[in-house]
Amino acid sequence: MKKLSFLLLLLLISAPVFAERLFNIPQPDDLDLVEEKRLLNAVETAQKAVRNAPDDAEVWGQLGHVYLIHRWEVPAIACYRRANSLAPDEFRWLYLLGRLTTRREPEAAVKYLNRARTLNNAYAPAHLYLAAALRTLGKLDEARQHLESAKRIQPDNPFSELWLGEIALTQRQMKLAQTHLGNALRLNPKQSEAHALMAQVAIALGDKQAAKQHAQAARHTTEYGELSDPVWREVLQAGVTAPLYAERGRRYMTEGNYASAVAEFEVLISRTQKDIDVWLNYGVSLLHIKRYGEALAALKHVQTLLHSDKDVQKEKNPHEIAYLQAQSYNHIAQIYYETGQPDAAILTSKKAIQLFHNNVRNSQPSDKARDPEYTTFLANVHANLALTYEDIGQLEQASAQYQKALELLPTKSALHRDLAGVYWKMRRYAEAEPHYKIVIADEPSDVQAVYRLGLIFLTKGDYEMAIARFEKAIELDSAHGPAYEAMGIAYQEIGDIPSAIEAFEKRLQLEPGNRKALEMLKQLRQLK
Amino acid sequence: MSGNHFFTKLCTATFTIATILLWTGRAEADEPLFSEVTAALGFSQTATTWPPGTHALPEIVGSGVALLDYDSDGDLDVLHIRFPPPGKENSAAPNRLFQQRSNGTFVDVTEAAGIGHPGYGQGVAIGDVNNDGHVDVYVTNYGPDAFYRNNGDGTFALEDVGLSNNAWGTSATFGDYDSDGDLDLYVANYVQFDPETICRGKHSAPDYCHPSVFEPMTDRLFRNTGDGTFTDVTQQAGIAAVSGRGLGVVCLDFTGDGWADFYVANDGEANHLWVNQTDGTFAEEAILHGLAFNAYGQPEASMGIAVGDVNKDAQPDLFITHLFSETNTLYIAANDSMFIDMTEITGFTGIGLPFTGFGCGFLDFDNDADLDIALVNGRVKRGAILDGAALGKFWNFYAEPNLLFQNSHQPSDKDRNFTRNLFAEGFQRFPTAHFSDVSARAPDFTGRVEVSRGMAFGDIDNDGDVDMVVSSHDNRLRFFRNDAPPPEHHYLFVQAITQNRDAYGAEVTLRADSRTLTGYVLPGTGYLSSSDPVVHFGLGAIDKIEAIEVRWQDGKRERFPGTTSNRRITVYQGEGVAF
Repeated sequence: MKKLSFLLLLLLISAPVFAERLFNIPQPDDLDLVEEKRLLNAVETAQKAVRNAPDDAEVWGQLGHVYLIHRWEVPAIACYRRANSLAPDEFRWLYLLGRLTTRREPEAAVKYLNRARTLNNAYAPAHLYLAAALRTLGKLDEARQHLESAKRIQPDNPFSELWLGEIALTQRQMKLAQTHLGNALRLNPKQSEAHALMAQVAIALGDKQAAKQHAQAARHTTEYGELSDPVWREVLQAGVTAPLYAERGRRYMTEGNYASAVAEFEVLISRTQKDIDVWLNYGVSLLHIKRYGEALAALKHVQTLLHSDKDVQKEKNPHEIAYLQAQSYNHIAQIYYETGQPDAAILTSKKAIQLFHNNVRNSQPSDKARDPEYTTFLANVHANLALTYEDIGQLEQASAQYQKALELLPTKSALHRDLAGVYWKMRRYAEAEPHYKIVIADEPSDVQAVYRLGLIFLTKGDYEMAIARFEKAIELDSAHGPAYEAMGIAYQEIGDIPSAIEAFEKRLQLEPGNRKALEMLKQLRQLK
Repeated sequence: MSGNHFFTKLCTATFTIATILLWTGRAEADEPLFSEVTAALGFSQTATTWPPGTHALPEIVGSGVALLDYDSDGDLDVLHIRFPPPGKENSAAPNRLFQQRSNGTFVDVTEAAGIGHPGYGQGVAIGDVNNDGHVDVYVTNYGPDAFYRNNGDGTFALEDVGLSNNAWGTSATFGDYDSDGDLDLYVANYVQFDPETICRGKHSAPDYCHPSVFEPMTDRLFRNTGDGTFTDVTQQAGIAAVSGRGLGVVCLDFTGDGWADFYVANDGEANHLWVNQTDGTFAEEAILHGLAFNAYGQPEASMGIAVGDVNKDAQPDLFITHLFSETNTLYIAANDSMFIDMTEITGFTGIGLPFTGFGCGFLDFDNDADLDIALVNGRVKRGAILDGAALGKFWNFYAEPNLLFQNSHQPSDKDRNFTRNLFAEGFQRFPTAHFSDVSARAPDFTGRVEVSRGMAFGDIDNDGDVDMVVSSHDNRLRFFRNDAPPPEHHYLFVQAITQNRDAYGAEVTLRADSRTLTGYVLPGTGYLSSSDPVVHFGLGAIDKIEAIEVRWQDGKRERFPGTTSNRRITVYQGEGVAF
């Protein structure tokens, strides 16, 4: 009897535990079709964690991540719901549930996301998804408020302005739509949706020419700007299949974290790997972390695949193959440059340019050939070639290459700076002057450009202008000794000896014992 | 106190609403809107097990079905476009022609008619290309297409008349784009498919490729030379300027200039509107007319196209079916030949999102004088298995139910508020429609979870309402008899004839009881399919038509005398009063 009571007691105590353990773990219907062992292991590990700790929200969330990132949304939602019921005050589960239900169940999404906002109101993606759900429900004013909030929190997010523009267009507020969509395009010129909507705005405003231009731009595939979303990043980390390693690698590359990118791509690198993008991105990432030998091997493998692998050749059209070859040549040239092989770098850059002109640009329809991606690529190759020439002192060739780059990207400030620098080295100050002016107009805080423009004015005898530039340089960098020194000379030239002395004294303070300053001060004090 | 009062009112209101819902629910449940009559019509119900797929894209695209009167006996016959089972691409799967007998059942006359082309069938276009009063047949294939001339004696002859298209043709449509009195042909082409390409989802298991994996194709335009042959004018007409992954196509004057345009539904990219420049050339202007993208400026995976005047403003509106997670999109013609995505305002928010739509059509299934929508679904990527799927392990992942929407013109209070919010300063001046999901009231049509593709509409049983036939991924046909119209709802069928053939592209307007109803002679809509070209009008309580007006495809207008309801009439170009 005692034994029975004890067993009953044990049963009662352990009942909740058994109940939890009996809780159904959601399963993807087609899990048995998965051949990828890494994924099966990841699923099994995550499920095992749930079985071991069924009342731990974190393990449920992790299982949800594994499902979601591998496109099993239905069981993922069930996992997040369970996680949310176990940890109702955890932001991530509410946010993900809201995000996943935004379109299909907008009313539910609004509830989840509003609750998430009470836990973290400074998370821009939550505002954006909430706005999307509200927009679907026709609650435009509320949607607009959340889009504005997202804009305040994350001013460069690519979606607030786009969706504000869409709402304005829906309400036939054409001027307002034009403003928002214009802002969206400034943030991301490759956002085709903004162009598509802008075409409609332009038609409504009677500007057929603009409508046609936007319609043309809208045909390109959108390249979305990155939305900073740490929760989604956590989900992405759960991915264990090849496309997800590659996606993470690409994301790391856009963030400039090339070491992490290499780690992601390395998982995918094998003798049988034929994904050109993986090899190319791997090579480029290695180049950035200065593992030049491996980078060269990877990029040469890209060339081999493009040149002789039948599967790759079947998958890509001749334009794509030529463009990829040109890209890899450009990166190989960079490796040669970095490893002190300028001749090889020049030869390889020229190959990239020739290949591009013959097999990519000139063989495409004119609208395709003007694709901004192509233009940027070619400008970069010319700029790299210019840099190599500059390094070995072939300044004429360097300036010619920078000019070619600037013909392609006339508004790119960095190219103006580089070309001005080459002219500077060649002492062709008059030719450097307009480029420095453009650089300063674009980046008023570029101290070197400001200082050098001052020197150019000084050599031209335009002392007042020169002094103004030196003052600006000192304002930007109060420890800029050469600017004080040059300013002293300028003051001396206009006969303002006290100011000249003051400038040289500052120079001396910054660099005690500076011989030029000591000598000038001696001369100036005698004049005084 | 006031709180209690509010609570009492709320409870009363809730009870009243619940009571109404209960009663209407019962009444509706007892009277299904459609009944499946496949077996009763003489079609085999013996389901042969369809083999599991091989993830070759053509096998998931499916095929179409046509309702046509090939023997000119006044009733509708059926042409079923078929394709070989997965893994047996080289085996014969001839198309099948079924003749309707006088008792309403069908008999397979494929062999006698000589139309059993054994290609990998996809779509079908029906049209009388030589104006001899007998409809001819064009079949698109994954492979070379085929043209059958109707000999007028119940047989067809496979002929080479210059309609050569070796690309992967999908939907095709006849239309007289050059207004010279004979029918030309537009063929939408899909992708340059490579059978050796294997695609895997993010979970690494093989699945059907996204079409963007393959290069898009140039569609084809063939001009009827008038001597029984066609000339490929794709290049000179400008159609080659932009390629696409076309799945649906319709031919109608969408810009109101009296010239036929072509609208092409592309898969996963901008749709195309080829605007007739009236000199034999076309310019692609879908973006400029609001028909390329959805309201958010995003391209969608467009499959089927329905065309009709859903808001009774005498302009053609378009409904496009799409992939799961995208809406099925309703574009309402606004003004200046602009179209506006009014999917949300018309009641479609969220309803189609979980499903992948293919065949579709506007039909006034309840004869209440406004156009409703039916569409069929079925995935192209594996998803969670839905309750009721019984297609075997492989295909269950792709199976989905169909949908039926009723146009009420009267939004619910909730939707009225939605509209007020959404368009407070916007589209209030545009008349619109409002649709409710009535799928639950048509369980035979919507209750099965299958992979459906083609769909054709017509009054198969000659009882005054529009019936439907649906084709599936496994070469199966299902017929749905319309049981919806109450006796007090009237109808009228108008057949418009020009040059001894159906006047494709003509706009037929009925004037009655201060109302205007507009329909289009437009068999080539939907997905890979062809419907009855006779225009059906549900009339509701209207029993007398005051006048019938036709704007013929060449832009000329004629008025014909009125008539009484519940009948079929034929109007001939040149016999009305021009106006």
